[in-house]
Amino acid sequence: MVGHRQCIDTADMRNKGSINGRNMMRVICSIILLGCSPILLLHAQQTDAAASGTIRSLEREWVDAQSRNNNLALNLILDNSVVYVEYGHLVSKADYLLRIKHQDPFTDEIVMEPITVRVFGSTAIVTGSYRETQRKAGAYIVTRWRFVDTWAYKKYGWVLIAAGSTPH
Amino acid sequence: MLLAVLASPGTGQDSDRRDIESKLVALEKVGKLQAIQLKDLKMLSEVLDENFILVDQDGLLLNKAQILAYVQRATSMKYLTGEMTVHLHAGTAIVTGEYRLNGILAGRRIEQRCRFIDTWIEKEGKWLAIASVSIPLT
Repeated sequence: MVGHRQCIDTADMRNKGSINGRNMMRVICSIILLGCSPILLLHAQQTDAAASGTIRSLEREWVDAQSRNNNLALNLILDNSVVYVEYGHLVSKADYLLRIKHQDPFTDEIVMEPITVRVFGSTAIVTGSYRETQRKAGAYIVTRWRFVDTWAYKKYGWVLIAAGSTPH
Repeated sequence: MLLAVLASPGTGQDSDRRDIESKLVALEKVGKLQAIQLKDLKMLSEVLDENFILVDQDGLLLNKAQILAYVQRATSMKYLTGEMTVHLHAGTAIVTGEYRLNGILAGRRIEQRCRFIDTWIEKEGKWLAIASVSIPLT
């Protein structure tokens, strides 16, 4: 708000056109530049923070949609050309959605652990780990995975463009 | 004539896309793998963004400094790669493929066969790797 007010004042000075006015304008311009840099930086940080928050929500929605066989939500979360490596195999979006559609939601449980989001403009990298419990032939198999997910900001928002995880 | 005019932007875009794809494959092979094999830390450092992260085949999370230190420590590292696929999303690219690594680190032999997913972004006209994950092939 202060920056906006100063900009209006600068415009008024320019109209006067006097030497004193020009000097004053330089001073004010310098003040604005000095004042605006932290504002711009703060704005960029806030934008990154907002993107980070959105991506965290999407990560949670992804796990939730997978556990509820919600293919409608998964279809929106995953980009059509997503590169997805699941259990060491490269799977297409269609193959993944087909598997989820027929998956018994009670055989697989995923517990997410803390994640880190790094935003690079319209690209974001998420790293983290999760614990997967699978029920196979009456036995429980627990695997801990570390993953890297890549999100891109497109026309309608953030979409997952790549994901891969490694047991650890 | 009209068809040729209408077709030209598409052809140009396809050509640009192919150029970027070739550039990224070259960066993968020379900027990353060859640089690791030759222990060319300067070149490796140039293609990795300062915030680059790697999840290796054992699930370990490494940052740029840790990767450079790892490469420096290795006695030998030899990569064999197959075909790579590039998916472009404006200024972001996903490169995926498989590699076989034979090497020696701290007197211990390393043999790995993995699938990888690398993420690249274009920053001021230069492509930089920002993330990589290696997944052991079973």
